[in-house]
Amino acid sequence: MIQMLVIMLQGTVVSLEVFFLTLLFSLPLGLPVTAARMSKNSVVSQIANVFMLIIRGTPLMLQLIFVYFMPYHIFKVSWDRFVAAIVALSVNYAAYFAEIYRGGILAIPAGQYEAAKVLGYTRWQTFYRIVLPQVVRHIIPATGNEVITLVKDTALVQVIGVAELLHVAQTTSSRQFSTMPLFVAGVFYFVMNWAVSAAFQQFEKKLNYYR
Amino acid sequence: MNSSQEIIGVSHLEKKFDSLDVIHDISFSVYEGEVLGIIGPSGSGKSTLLRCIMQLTDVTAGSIRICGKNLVTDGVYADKELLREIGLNLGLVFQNFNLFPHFSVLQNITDAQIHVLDKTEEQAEQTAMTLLEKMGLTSKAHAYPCELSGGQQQRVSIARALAMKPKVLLFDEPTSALDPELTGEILSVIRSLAEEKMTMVVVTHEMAFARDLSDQIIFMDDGIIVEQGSPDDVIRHPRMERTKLFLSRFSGGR
Repeated sequence: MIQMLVIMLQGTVVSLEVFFLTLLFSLPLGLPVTAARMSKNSVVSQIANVFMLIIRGTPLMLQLIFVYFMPYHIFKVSWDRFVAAIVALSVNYAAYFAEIYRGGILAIPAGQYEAAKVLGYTRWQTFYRIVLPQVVRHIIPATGNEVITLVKDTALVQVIGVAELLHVAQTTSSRQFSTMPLFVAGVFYFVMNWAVSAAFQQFEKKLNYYR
Repeated sequence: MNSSQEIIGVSHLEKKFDSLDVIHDISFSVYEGEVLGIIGPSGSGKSTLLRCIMQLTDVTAGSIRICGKNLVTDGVYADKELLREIGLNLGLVFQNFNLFPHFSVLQNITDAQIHVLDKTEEQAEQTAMTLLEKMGLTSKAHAYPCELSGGQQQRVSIARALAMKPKVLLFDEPTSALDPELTGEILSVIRSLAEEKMTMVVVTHEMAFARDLSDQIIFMDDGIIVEQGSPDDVIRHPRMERTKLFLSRFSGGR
């Protein structure tokens, strides 16, 4: 029992690494994608549009496989599975976050931009000081939703052989002829998402000082 | 009046949205210490005129001069640097206040001073508190806009505009979004600014107010100036049928 838990905790550490690294890269990466999607230049916005259509229109599992095996087929060299997993997940989640950001930006009334312009703020100051803080507040619920999905999506990286929590649970389960490890894995995911929800609730409460 | 400095000079201004002529051949001047009242029915181009002056929309043709500097000359705009410099001479009070909801009342008034005018935090707060005192809102300095009434929000937005020390303050229907019982507090603030010889352009539907406050009145309809002159001429003794018809709807106006 103890031994099983130790193995599964190791898998959890891998899942958490995948989770945090993906967030670290995808949250900022969503911003340029939104900027491109909202660009007045129609070529740029179309490229972003097609990118989002592909990413959101195909299974994440397929994207993981594609990112991991593509370098091998083209250059005849393979790369680290863990790195491939982070790249695929980050690109995928950036597309979703970009759409959430876009919604948040569109929710800011034109009057806010006009007031900032009239007061002499530069475009960058307007974005940074006036728009962004309000966008952050708008997008917290939708972002929380996405982050919770990410916790569960980390289980997909096992398709390219990364030994994350669910993968470890499955192998342990078949070795011990017991469903117990799978059940324990479920509890682990639940606890992780409980923490994520609590964190977002806290965050939301903190930003609830206006309106 | 002509002896004092011209603050706003507009000549032969045109503004078209696609083929729609929103402003047609408008010319006027506002001199230092003067209050210009702009009246007219909805959709007559009053707000668009203010937006042209404030650089919130591009003009199609004509010229605008602010404090002797050419903002736009025959439809050609000055370079970016000068546009920005000219913009800092102008303040605008919006119909819907447009306060920044994530900033406290105090931050609303200090933030642009600090980040646009490079004032220190102490200087900015001092200016802000003086203005808030003038607006009777000292106790609300740390409140957020959502906690204020419409009239209070509008007074904060006036303070925010004044904090930038503009040469002229433009008002775009400052009382139209307010309950009737709240319009009085805004009108009295504007009145006290007029007493201090603040140069102002006020677009309003408050006829009695425009009449009492303004040195000069413009009546606009369909994008043109129908009648222009002293409040006495335009509001008490209008010459044009169009003006008479419009004013007859405001019983309190005469």
